[in-house]
Amino acid sequence: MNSARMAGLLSLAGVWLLSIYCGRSSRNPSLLPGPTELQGWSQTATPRSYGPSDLWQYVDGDAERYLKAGFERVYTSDYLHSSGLEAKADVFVMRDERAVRELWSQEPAEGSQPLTLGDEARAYPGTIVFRKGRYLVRVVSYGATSQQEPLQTLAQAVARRLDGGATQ
Amino acid sequence: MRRWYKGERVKGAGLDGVSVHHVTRRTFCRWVGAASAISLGCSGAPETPPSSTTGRSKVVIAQDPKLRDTRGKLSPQRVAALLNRALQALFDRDHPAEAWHQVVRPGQVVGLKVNCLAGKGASTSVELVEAVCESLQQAGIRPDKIVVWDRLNADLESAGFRIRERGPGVRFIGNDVLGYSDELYAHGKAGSLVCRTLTEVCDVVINLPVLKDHSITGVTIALKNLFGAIHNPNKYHLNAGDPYVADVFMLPPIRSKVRLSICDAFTPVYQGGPSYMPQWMWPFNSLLVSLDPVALDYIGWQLIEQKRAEAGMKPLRELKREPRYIFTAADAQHRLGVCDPQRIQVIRI
Repeated sequence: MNSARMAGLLSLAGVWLLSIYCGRSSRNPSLLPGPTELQGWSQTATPRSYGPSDLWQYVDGDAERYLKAGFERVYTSDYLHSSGLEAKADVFVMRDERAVRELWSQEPAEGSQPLTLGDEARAYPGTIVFRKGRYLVRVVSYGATSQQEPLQTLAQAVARRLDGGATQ
Repeated sequence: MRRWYKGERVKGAGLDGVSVHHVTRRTFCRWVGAASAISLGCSGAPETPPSSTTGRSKVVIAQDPKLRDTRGKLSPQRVAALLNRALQALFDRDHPAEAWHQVVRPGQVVGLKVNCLAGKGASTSVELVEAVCESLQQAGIRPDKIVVWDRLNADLESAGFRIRERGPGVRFIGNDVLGYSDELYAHGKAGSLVCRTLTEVCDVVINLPVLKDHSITGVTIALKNLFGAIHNPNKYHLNAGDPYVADVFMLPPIRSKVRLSICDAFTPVYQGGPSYMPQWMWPFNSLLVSLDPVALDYIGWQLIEQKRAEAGMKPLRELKREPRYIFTAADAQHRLGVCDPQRIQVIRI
């Protein structure tokens, strides 16, 4: 095989690999951590996402509050920990950080503890909420509210995902 | 021909993108006839909430501190026992079947309107629905005459119910299965299509809401649960839901068929609702049961305010989301029940 032909084949392979990469990116637009990014957690359902026109199908009744503040999109997924704890993570993408701050200020801090995560974080029994740039993240557990450590692991995985410049 | 509406003329709300089918005089008469037949066909099931022996609306708060096991899971047996105790107390009967016979008779199709919008954790409990189905069957209602329904199949599934559109057992269907009425129903500022599950399938509806705070309307309990019966609930959250919540409940198929409310207050939400917010929920382990949805909402609202105060939170009025629609539902134009505490008899068991 001559070098010119070899170069052509390599170029084709490169284009093919690039197309696969781009294809995966567009098929997996979630801002949520996938199976390889989780410690002790597994995703139990395909991540879902909602925009301004169908947000009411996800948080009907609460949708107006997000829309009024500058909502763009939400990504949500269910998770199961090896201990049996079930949880859900929501990433709300807002227009800008100011919009996130507006939502943040509406939520009472009573009963929470500050947490070092993102730009600002609160840990309640069974819930971790943090904001980072134009993202508002809510991680909630079902059933036992005493297992805070696995919940923190999941919240940290979401934060890492956001740090990684995930696409949307 | 002059157009007629069953109720007042629509004032524009909730009609975006919907083909409005005007109601003719003939249809109006047919509705009146149907409503009368329903009313006559079910003994002891009047359209307006009946009074207790003291002349007041009864609200039963039935509580069981041992409702859950050590892992926090609801005990199906204790939920069933709690339900039966509550029904017996409400109707002052010795047996739950006798209580059921005050609102439903064998042969009728009974709809159970659950609230599954918030998905797992903040929806009507599977254990409660199973208990109601079992208790109804013991009262002579065949399982194929029981229909558990809500807005979407996906909502029911997210709350832990398995969809069953047909077959010999209890059916579980979302409104997306049968769709909505061709005709527009209107009252006050509400104009909506009503789901066919309610208009065409069910003879009687048992309302199974959840006790929750609501970020816009203050609370969502029995009255607002019927937003899940219409095609355009997203249009009715203006002005903290007032008068829309009351107006929607006045729509003829809703008002004439909803007979009893059994509110799931096992783990109510006192802040951040209607979504699942475990940090703002508490294990109340209770059922609120009443024939009067307004009285039930009033008492439920007070319970939420009480819990908010205990947690150091502001009352809903200060947050501009006091549920004024509850008062509207009791006014002279609606008369869906009472919200004067002097006219509500709370029975705690």
